[in-house]
This record gives sequence, C-alpha cells and structure tokens, in this order.
Amino acid sequence: MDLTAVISMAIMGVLFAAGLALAHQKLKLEEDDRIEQVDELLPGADCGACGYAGCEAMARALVDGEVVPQKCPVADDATYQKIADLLNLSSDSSSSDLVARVLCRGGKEEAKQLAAYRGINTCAAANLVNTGGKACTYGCLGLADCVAACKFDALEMNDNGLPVVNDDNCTGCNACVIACPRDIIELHEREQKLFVWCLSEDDPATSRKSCTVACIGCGICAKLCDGVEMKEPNLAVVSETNAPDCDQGVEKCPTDAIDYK
Amino acid sequence: MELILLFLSAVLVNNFVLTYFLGICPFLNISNRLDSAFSLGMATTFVMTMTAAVSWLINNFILIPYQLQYLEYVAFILVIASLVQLVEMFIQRISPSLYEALGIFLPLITTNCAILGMALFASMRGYSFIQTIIYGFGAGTGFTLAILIMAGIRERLELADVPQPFKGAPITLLIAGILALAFMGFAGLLAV
Repeated sequence: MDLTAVISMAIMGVLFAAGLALAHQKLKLEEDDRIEQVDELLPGADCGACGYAGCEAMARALVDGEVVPQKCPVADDATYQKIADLLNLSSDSSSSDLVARVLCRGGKEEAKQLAAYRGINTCAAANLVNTGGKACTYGCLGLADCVAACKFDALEMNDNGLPVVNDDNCTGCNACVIACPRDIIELHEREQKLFVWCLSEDDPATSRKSCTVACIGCGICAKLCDGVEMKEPNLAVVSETNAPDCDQGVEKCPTDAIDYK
Repeated sequence: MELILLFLSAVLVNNFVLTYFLGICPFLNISNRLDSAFSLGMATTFVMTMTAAVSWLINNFILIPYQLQYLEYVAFILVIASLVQLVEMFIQRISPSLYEALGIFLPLITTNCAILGMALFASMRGYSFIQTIIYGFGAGTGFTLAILIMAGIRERLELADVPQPFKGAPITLLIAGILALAFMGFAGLLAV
C-alpha cells in the first residue's frame, strides 16, 4: 500500500513536471532569444532616453524592428554595430552626436544675488520660491539638479556654482535637460563651439544690472556674423548648428556673452 | 437545472470568500483597483476550473481505486501548483503588463486556500465530473464577484472622508465584514 502511494505520487510528480517543462519550452520558443542578447549589448542604464521603459523594452522594440539601434543615445558606435550585426540591420545610419550645453555663465561671481535661498536643496524647489535667489530669472540656480540627474558622471559643479559638462562622459541622454527647471541645458552637436552663453530675455538695463556676462541684446554679433541672429529683441542666438565662427562678434561683445567653448 | 443551482449556490449562497472566508489574502490585497482585481479573478477562476477537472480525475482514477484518499491534500496541491505555473507562463507571455500588475499574487494563487478548499469540498461531497467542473467554475466566479465588489467599493472609498483611525486596513476589514453580512441574505435563496 505504501509502495503504491510512493509510486503514484512519483508518477504524478514526473508527469506534471514533464507537462510544465513542455509548456515552458513551447512558450519560451515564442520569445525571441535575440531580445536577451540585444538587452545585454545595450548600456543597461535603463535611463529611458530612447523613450522606452528601459533597456529590455528597447531590446524588444529593436528585435521587432520598430526602432533603429541609434535611437539609444547612450550607446557608442561599436555597440550600434554589434546590435546591427546581430539583427542583420544595415548600420549606415550614423547617429547624431549630441552633448549637453549649459547656456548660462552667470555663476556666483558674475550674477547678482538678491536673496539667500535656504530651503530644500534642489533647483526645482528653489525655482518655486520666488524664482530663487539670483536677480536673473533665466540663469542657473546652482543647486545641481542636473548633476543629480546625470547617470554617467558627465556633469559636476565648479567652484563658481555652475555645472560643467564633461564631453567625454556625456551621452546626450537628455536627463539633465529634463531635470533643469530653468531649461538652460540644451543638447547640441558635439562639434559646435560657438554659443551665446545666456538665455536672458530681460531688457538691456535689467540684464546689465543682474549679471556681468548677460546678453544685453545689442545685436552686434548678429550684425557681424552669419549664423548668429536675434531670437528675441534682447537676446542673440547662434542659429546655425554647423559651427560658424564669429571671431569679430566674440571680440566686440560688450559682455562676453557670445564665446567659443 | 440542478447544475445551474449548483453554480448559483457556489457563487452566491456559499461564496468562498464571504461565506467560508477562504482566500482572504488576495481578496484584501488585490482589491484596490478594479481592472487588476478582475484579472486576478479571471486567473483564479481558470485555475479553479482546471483544478476541479484534474483533481476529480486524479481522485477518481488514482486515489480512490488504490485507496490513497489520505494523499488528496498532497495530490491536489501538486495539481494546483502545476496549473498556477502554467497560468503564470501564459500570462507572462500574453500580457507582460498584467504580469507586472499582479506581481507576487499570481504565484500566490497556489496558496489561495479557496482553490484547495474547492477541490476538497468537491471530493468530500462526491460530485460527478460535470458537477465538479461547474462547482469549480462557480467558486471561481464567486471569488471574482467578491473581489470585484470589494474593488469597486474601495475605489469609491479613496474619495471618501474616512476617519483617520479607520484609514487603510481597518475600513477594508469592516467592509469585508459588512459584505459578508449582506451575502448572508442569499442563504435563504437556495437549499443546496
């Protein structure tokens, strides 16, 4: 009697196990095993810059052919190549190489301080409290939300209270752009060197008072150089991305707002 | 007719959650949103119906002929565990988002005592094969009904001004008790 119990249970166990193993095989086969391989090739930061929920979701989309590897702004060319080889894609569509640029040079020394902010130590919070301590309402708040958002150690605060981009580490993932409540971080072509390092649209008198390196909208750079124009009445902007040079404008700018990197 | 009565009895009169108080854990834990409550109810109903069928076959073709009824707990748990694994694989493949939403409660269907209870009741009462399947399906439907009612109430409750000491688990338990009282009203409906 005991033996029948043992045997019948053993047989049932083995049968169920076999059934499950079979079902596992059947259901697993449908799952493309390239998904896992692509997932391993991707950077694995799950930063979401591609627009998918994470690297695994991106891997799925890649295998399904919904997206090209270059959609991942973080991976390098070698990785694109490996993924393209794996999925038999043509890899000629090269990525646009974007890096973050902080368009404010008004640090502690240059920008006038109206008040001292003592609150939650983030730019997002400071921005809510009467737009922070600086007189300029366009400039960097200096509380390093962007540094915290960066997953690749590409940003750090300098002694002047401004974030500095380390081009070698920057992957153009857009995380700092989203994190900045003042929207002063933008993604630009890695080659572009010339920028107007200010986004202030204040009138010239106010700009001059609040910051020594503000763009006061005199327009001299726009007059002297192609590829630089007045975006707002009081603000010039480098409009051409293919790296124009503007030595005269840089020299003549009364506040050094336009400059090479 | 008899089968319909059996079904109604399992759904309303002898509701597993609100009359037998089986399967309380998922009932309280997955009932804060209607859609995930419904999915869990469906998964449980499927497992219950399949368990009813397979456990009847095992009971009548293996356990009873060899006089191994004392092993029915072990055998039924084996059936339930395997079926839950199967359902889990299925859901993971068909709807990853649902798989995420149900989380740990999907594998925990294994330890949902309502399912084992259903299988044991069915063998205890000597139901036929068809009866057992109807009973299992009815039990699952009853579970789904109970968890849906609970989820509906709790979704509305989120907007209600619940006194501080009753917030969260206390009010949920109170609702479960009142619901059980309400289901007592079905007791006179059928004499099964």
